[in-house]
Amino acid sequence: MLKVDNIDKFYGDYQALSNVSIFIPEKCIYGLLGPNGAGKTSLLRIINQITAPDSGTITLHGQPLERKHCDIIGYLPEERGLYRKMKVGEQAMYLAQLKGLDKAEAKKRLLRWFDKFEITSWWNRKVEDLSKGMQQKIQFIVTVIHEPKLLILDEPFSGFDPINAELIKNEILQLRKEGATIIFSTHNMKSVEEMCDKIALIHRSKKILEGKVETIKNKYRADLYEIAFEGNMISFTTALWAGYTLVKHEGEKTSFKATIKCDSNQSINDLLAALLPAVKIKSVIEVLPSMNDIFIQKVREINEQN
Amino acid sequence: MSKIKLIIGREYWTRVRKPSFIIMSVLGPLLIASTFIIPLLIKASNFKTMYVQVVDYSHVIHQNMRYYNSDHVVYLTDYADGEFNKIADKFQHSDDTAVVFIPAHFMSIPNDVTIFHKDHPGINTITKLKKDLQDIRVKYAVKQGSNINLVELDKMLQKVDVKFYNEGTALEVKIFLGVAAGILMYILIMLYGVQVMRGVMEEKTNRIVEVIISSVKPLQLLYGKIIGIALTGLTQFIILISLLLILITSAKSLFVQNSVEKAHQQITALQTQGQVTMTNDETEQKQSVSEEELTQYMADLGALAPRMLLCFPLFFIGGYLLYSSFYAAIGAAVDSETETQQFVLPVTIPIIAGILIATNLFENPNGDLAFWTSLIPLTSPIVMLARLPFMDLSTQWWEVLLAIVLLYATFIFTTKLAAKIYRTGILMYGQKASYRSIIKWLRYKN
Repeated sequence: MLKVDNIDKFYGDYQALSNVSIFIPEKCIYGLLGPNGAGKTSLLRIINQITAPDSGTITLHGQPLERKHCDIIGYLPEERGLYRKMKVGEQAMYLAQLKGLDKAEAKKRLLRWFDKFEITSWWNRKVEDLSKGMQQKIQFIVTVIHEPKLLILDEPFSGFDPINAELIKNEILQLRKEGATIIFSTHNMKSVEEMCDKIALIHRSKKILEGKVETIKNKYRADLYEIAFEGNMISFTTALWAGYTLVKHEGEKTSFKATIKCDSNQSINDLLAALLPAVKIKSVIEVLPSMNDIFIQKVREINEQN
Repeated sequence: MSKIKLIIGREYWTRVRKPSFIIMSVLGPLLIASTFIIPLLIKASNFKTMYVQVVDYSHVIHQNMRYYNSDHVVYLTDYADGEFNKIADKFQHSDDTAVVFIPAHFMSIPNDVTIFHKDHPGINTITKLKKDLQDIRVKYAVKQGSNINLVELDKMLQKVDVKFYNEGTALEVKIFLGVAAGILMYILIMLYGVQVMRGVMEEKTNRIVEVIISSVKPLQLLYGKIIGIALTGLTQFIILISLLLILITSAKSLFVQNSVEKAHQQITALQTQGQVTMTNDETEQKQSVSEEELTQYMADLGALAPRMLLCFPLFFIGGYLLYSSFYAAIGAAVDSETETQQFVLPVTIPIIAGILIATNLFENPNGDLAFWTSLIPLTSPIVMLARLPFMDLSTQWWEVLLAIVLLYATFIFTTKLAAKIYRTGILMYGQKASYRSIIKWLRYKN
């Protein structure tokens, strides 16, 4: 769907993006992660053609990205805003028409969305009279009103209460089901794990990680297992005399939960073989690293290398 | 107390260290000084001796005129009271500034003093001439003593009125039109220029700009905004002019009616006091004076209206586009209203200089200062409009054309620069704008 090839972007002497390449397949939810100032917003602005790269190419459906593609891209920037003095309906109509919809079609679609979000009564109210959450809803509607094939969402859940965040999340998933490809940039790792198919991690203007969420998680698995058992904690630790590390444990009397790290030459079978004679095992779960852990670990590695 | 000291210190130093404070402190006095320096400059730019030839058909005043000579105005009586064409021909080949024709009936009715000039001698010369002629008439009246009655005395004390032979229009009308057009232009440029700045700032601070420029090019947004606001300005201009025409027309009928009533009242008062009796003829004559005068003013206004109505929109569009490009760049560069000060001031200075020149220009509408500032694009929209009523377009049309060409060429250039600042500035949040950063943005590739 979208191919970003060797993008460089400079602001004067400052390099915001350095040789960044990503590929986003169709109908994929693609997470763009990275610390503040890493270059995510610069990349999103380039994809939105708000600014141009200094070098590199972008293709959409195999065609070089051009102005005409604006009408099939929807963009929700991190910094939200609407004209405060304008009426909600009037403003939504204006923004929808800027995206290429004719007046009648814009009105029809807007009324449908307003009805869906139960905000029809806001149509004639001024934006400044609405709460921040309400304004966010309007902003989301005008981002998707032209049914974009590529939806770019920068921190889509910020400013929403949990109920509305869930509403927006479901709408995003629904849009994907209907055929949209979605890029979203976020710091919210939970939403990345829940929604993203692929991610790219950008740090200090460079892409340092890209791939499917499952693949990355597997790559960064640390042979950690959470074991729930009944028995004696001393017997448990004695059984793990060599080849294992007790990372943490909790529980009292005879019921415990412990996280164990296997050393490189030990497998889960070896671990269980060591434990079975000592305690009664109730459950074993492999602890996969969270995206948050991977993010922090990777950024830390890079920082240490430099 | 020490806490108050801390607060005072913070409040004081954060403001004093601001570039806007320093700029304002230096430029403020300069600006104030310029309000009286500019009128002086206009006078100075015209400081040459005016040689005024007096052709006296009344044969009363010519021998007295030389007593009124000054550094600025020298009265001469080299031309005999011959035929006008011969005098005009002689005058065209001389270094004299103007010829004043004093009518034979000057001592009884001081109306038909006619001035024939090459370059406009300026309001100072005309004022002095009127004052000097008036003075002679008063002295003459005094000399006549008890030989004249009150009606004659009243006539002798009437103010001297002058006409310009080679200009159909009264000086007052020109001054009024020039100053009014200059002020209107100043107000419209400032008003709508600042609206552009606020509009850009609103979009930037609201962050809506990012949504919009993901749908349209930044320059489309900038030009759309500037043109939209320009159309608002032109609409307001059209409403203003229409209302003004309605007002003038209704004021004319009202004024004429009032003057008739007033004349009646005066005559009634004089008659009841028994001091003066007037014939019906005289009453009618008195009534019709102000009406004639007003009709003449209206005709003068009408004569100048086409050039003003044609040039005003042209200069407004050029001037507005020029200044709104600056204002748009400022709006894009800053994050808040307070940050605008340091940038707005340098942009405002030429506009203020323009209005100061425009309102004093009648002193010398063809002097160097008026000439150059009516060509320089930063001041030309205001100054040229103020100068326009004084210009002889059959010979000076090229000055207007050149001013328009220069103005439009400059705005194309400044709009391009402003667009570069705009494209970068609107996406820069949380950075304190400075002249250095703006220069840096001009070098960015977009």
